[in-house]
Amino acid sequence: MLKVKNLKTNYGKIQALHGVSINVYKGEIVTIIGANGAGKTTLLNTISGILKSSAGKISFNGTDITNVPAEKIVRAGLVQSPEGRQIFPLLNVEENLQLGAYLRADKERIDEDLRRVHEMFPRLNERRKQLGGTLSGGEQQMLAIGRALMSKPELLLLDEPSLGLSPIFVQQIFEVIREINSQGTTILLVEQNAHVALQTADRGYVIATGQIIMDDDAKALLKHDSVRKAYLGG
Amino acid sequence: MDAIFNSYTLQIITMCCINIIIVQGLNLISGITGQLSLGHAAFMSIGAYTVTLLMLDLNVPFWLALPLAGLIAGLAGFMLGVPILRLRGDYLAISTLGFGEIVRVLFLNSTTTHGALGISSIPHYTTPLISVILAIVGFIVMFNLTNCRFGLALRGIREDEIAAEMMGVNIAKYKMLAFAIGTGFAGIGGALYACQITFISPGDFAFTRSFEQLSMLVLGGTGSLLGVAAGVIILTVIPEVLRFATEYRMVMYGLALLIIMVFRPQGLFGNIRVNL
Repeated sequence: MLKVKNLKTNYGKIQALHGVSINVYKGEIVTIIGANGAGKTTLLNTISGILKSSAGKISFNGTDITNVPAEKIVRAGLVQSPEGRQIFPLLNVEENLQLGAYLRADKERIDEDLRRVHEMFPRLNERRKQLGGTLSGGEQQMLAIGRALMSKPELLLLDEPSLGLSPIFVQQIFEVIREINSQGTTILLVEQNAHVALQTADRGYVIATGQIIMDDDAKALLKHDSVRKAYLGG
Repeated sequence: MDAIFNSYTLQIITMCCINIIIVQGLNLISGITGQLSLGHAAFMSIGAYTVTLLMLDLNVPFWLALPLAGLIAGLAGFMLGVPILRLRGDYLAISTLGFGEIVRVLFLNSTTTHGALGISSIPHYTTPLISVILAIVGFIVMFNLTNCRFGLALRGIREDEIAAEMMGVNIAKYKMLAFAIGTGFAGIGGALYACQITFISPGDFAFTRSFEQLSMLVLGGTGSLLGVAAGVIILTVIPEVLRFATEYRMVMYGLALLIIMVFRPQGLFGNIRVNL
């Protein structure tokens, strides 16, 4: 479904990605784990068209989407839920979700998806008229994921969904991620919280200083010695 | 009735309506879309000079020259937007400030515009009725623009550009459109201004004018259409009411601004704070 080949991205003169290659197949949950500054967010932002790559190729469902404007990538069905939630703080919950469905015109289907998001996150239904910025951290994360779902993605990119959340919320969010996946959305998940990410995912990649240093089944990575040492605390 | 609607108050009402049209435009750019502009008066001047030169030099009738003034100011806004709307926050503000000065100096040195002498005896077409009607029309247009999908996208850009982009909003295009429409409003307002005062010179559109418009917006409440009207009316009427204070007038004007900002930093009708 998604093929990234030898991708390189720079911030000015500093190279953040040194030739990254990953594959995501339909129906999977794939996770990319790595420390701060390893290039996880850079990779996602380059895939979703927010950043431009300097070399390499990204293809989605067989179409080349390298350096295509973000808007067209969303239209093709690849949607990112950004790091640190980045909801629209002065728009209310409903408006936030409406902006998620921004590129769609099929009113009935949008309402149907809105119901689905409300089922998944009843809290968002209760707080429909509340400003996004006044929600708690966990609720904002729900809103960010709900908003991304409103654009009906085939492939959902999640950037650190556990960031800044209490352990109980982390469990909840990851349950929802599994549910979204079981309803047919493929997921590429970037996480610092390697433990919960690898437990949820089918396959995993380990990224360090802009390079993929390991890839395997998620279960195998969980047991792998160097992964345990570096990312799971022994 | 005659005691209230004498020529003096009618003139104030007309100026309020003209300013409402102009600041409504600024609100779309800075309040709704979040792109701080310090050069709004430049687009007002483009509208004012366009209507004047079209009428006086080319004998174009007022009712054709007025929309053309809006169109040309909007076009200028669009063209300026291409290079500078990639900038953010204070960088954008400074470049709009620079653009305002460029426009003023161009009008100052051009022979067609009679330079610093300005242009006098512009036909007086702006009646109170016309200004009131156009302010209401402008208000309705803005209300519809900001409360549809387009407006939602603009507010999304204001709140978080990257998140808006991730939702599929073409931010460059939308910023440009907001800028073009907003500056178009300034052009219409400028044209009405020229045909109200009947005399214009480049000095009328200096950066202090842009700041005055921004003050009206911030005071009334950034992003709020009602706030625009409130801010304009208050800042147009206060200096008139304070005429009794003669030389202390501007001190009291400044004091009024200060007090409102201390107690209502989000403006009278707004819920958004301006971030420079």
